[in-house]
This record gives sequence, C-alpha cells and structure tokens, in this order.
Amino acid sequence: MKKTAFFLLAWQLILSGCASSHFSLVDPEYIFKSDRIAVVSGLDDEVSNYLAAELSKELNAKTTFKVMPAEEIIRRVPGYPMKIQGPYSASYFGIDEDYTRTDKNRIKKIMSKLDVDYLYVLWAPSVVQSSNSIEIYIITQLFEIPSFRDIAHSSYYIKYTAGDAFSIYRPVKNHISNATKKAVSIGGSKNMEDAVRDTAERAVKEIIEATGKGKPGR
Amino acid sequence: MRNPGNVPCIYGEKMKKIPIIQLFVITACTLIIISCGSISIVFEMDLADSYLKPGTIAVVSGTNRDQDYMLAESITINLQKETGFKVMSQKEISEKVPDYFYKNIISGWEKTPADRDSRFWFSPENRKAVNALQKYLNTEYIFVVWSGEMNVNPSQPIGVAGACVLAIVTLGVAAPTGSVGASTISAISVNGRLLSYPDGDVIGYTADSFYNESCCIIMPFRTYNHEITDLLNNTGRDIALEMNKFTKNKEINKKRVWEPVK
Repeated sequence: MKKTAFFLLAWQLILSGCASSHFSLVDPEYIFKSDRIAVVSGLDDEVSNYLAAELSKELNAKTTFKVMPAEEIIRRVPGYPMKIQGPYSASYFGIDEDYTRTDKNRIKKIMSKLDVDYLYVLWAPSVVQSSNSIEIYIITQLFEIPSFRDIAHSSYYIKYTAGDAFSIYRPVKNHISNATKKAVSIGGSKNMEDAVRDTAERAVKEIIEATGKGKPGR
Repeated sequence: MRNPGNVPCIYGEKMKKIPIIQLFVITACTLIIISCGSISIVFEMDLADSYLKPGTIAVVSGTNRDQDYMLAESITINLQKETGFKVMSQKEISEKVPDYFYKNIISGWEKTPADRDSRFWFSPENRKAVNALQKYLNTEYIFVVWSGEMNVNPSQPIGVAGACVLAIVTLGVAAPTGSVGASTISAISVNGRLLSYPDGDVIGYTADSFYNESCCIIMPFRTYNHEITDLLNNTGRDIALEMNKFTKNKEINKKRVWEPVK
C-alpha cells in the first residue's frame, strides 16, 4: 500500500510539472558575441505580427541589441510575413511544444535576406476565448546566423479580460508558463494592449537576465 | 453475513484483498473505451439524383491553418482507404501547387450575402482561386474544406463514469490537470465545396458541425489538442464515408430519390 501511495504521489508531481518554460538558453554557457538581431513573425496572421512588433520595440528600448525595424524586414523579405511551421506538434488549444518540427528551410530563406547576427522567431498560433477572457499562447525560438544554431527557446501566455461571453471554452490551468503565472498572480491585465505590454516587458527582462544585454541604467 | 469460501464479492473480508492497482486499471480501461461521436448532415450533392463517378480527386485545405490541413489530410486518407476515388495525397498537392498550405486559398467566407444559402455559397473570387489550383492538379474533382469555430467543453461526469472519476480524484491521480471528472466534448464547424471539372461547377457541399466526446479518464494523459486531433480525424472519416455513398452506380442513386434513405 505504501508503494501504491508513493507511485500516485510521484505521478501527481510529474503531472504538475508539465507547464511550459520561459526564456532559456539551449546551451547555458552560450555567450552572445554580436548585437544585430531581427524579430520576425512565424505566422502571417495579425496577432503574431503585432506581438513580434511589440517585442521588437521593447528589445530596442531595453537592450543593447541593434534591432532591425519591422519595416526593414518587410522591405528585404519578399512575401513577409509568411507562415513557417513552428516548434509545435499541435496548437489548437494551447501549444504542444516540439522544437524538432520547426521548418528550418523557410527560416534559412529569411535569414539569407537579413543582415543580422540573430533571428528571433515568434509564433502565436493559439488564441483561445473563454467565458470572460482571451488567452494568447506564444512560442519563440532564437537562432544564430549564419550557423543556424538553435540558441534559446521560450513560451509565454497572455491573458486579458473580455467583456462578452464566448462559446469557446478552455480551462486556463494547462500550458501556463512560469512567466505567465507571475503575471496572473500580480492581478492580470484589463485589456489587450496592457497585457501585451506587460508580457513584452517580462519577456525582454528574461532575455536580459539570460543574455546580459541590458542597457546600462535600466 | 460472512463471505463463504473464495467467492469474489464486493462485501465483507474479500474486498480488502482486491488489489487497488488492479481495480484502478480495470476502471481505467473501461472508461477509456467509452467515447463516441455524433454528426448530422455531412455531405450532400447539389442535385438529389446526381452521383459521383469514382474518378480523380484532390482534397485541398482552404486556408493555411493547421486544423484545415489536418482535415484535408484526414478526408484524403479515408477516401483512399474507403472509396474507389483516385485520391491525390497532400504531399502530391504540395509538390504541384506553389505555396500550398502556406497561403490561404479561399477568403471571404464570412461575406456570404444575406439572401444566399450559405451551404452552397462560393464567391466568384473563391471559385477563381480553386479553378487556378485545377491547372496544377488536373483532377476531375476538387474538394476544398475549411473550418469555422472550434470548441472544447468539459462537461460533468455521468453515472458510473462519474463514480469512477470520483474514485480517481480520491486517489489523487487526476487532480493536477484541472479537468477532473469531466467528459470532454469537442466540436468544430466545417465547410466544404466539391467542384467538378472541366466545368468548375459546385456540385456538392459540406456545411455542418461535428462533435466528438471522450471520457474523463484519459484527460490526465492528454491535452485538449489531442481532443481536437481526434475530432479532426473522425470528422474526416465521416465526410469521406458520406461522400462514398454518392459514388454508387446511377441506378441505385435514382432509386434513392424515390425511396429516401431512412
């Protein structure tokens, strides 16, 4: 009976530890030697593009990275924004992460057009409306150019309140990243703009912690 | 009354000797197999007495969303397995059509005029886009599919299943997922237009909601994405099987007009 109880406790702990992680370096010892970076959307929808642009602005404001403006990316990459298979096996309600599934060939095509040292790709494939809120699930991947080395992964979750009742329902508990748990516990945001700003700030703060690229005095 | 001998029962001393893990496994297996799906209108032909010859067909995803591609793939696989159609695979389509699945093919579904029957409506722009595909695919039929709203809705457990779930909750197995004790109903609305070539006419359509229900016990081991994947697979199978009903010979289908299928 003790064995059974131990098994059940262990299983419960495994299940409770399945939340997706925030920004983390694939190689914790990796050192950033250069500064030029571009943030691109991995999907051609409005949400992913908006979020990529907001993250780009925040990176430009708070870090020493030299961030390529979105207008310049559009000018250089024909057909941008475009759909790129992201690092997930499914993304209907939340994201089932799988970093082996990224379409590297399409990313290489974009890389070849941009004169930067790093490419930060953002996907927001899942927008879930519940009874009184909207949740946006985001996943990102950072590549080194021209080696195409996979440098860092992250996943975020934005939640904001919605005034109307929606028919799509999805419990909030699964897939919440640690960063989002912090955001929700602080009190959450009232509208999409605030929620996106809060999350972009948090995301960039984590990037600074991992890369040491924060602007002095910030 | 004491239990006589070794007769298994649920009362008395014998109950203490039933291994809890064995009980759990039996309960789990029983609940896993409790799943069902239900649908209503799945595929209809424009003309009641028309039929489909089992010729060449390509099922294409109307948009670049993953769910529509999955749906097209599921219909393709099931048409290949269950019907006499010569079905082009999704891989073949992506090799023939530039940027297939990366770009949306159709647009403007929501712009259906108020005075039109939305089941048949296919805008001139969308028809033009699919006709453009035909130049690459060169099939006798193209079935373009796209989905609308998707829902996942956990509901309350019922009867025996509920009791079993309660036992699981007590054991603490399912508690961390937030979906304890719920059978999950997922739903998706699907639209499809079957175009016949060389004329390019819309001769059949799908316009319905599809549902899938899976029982509570599997939820601790699955995400809602798994539920949707199952739903898409089942929906594709149902549409393919319904299409197959219209590939019978002409005589049978004429008879069907006079004697409606019950």
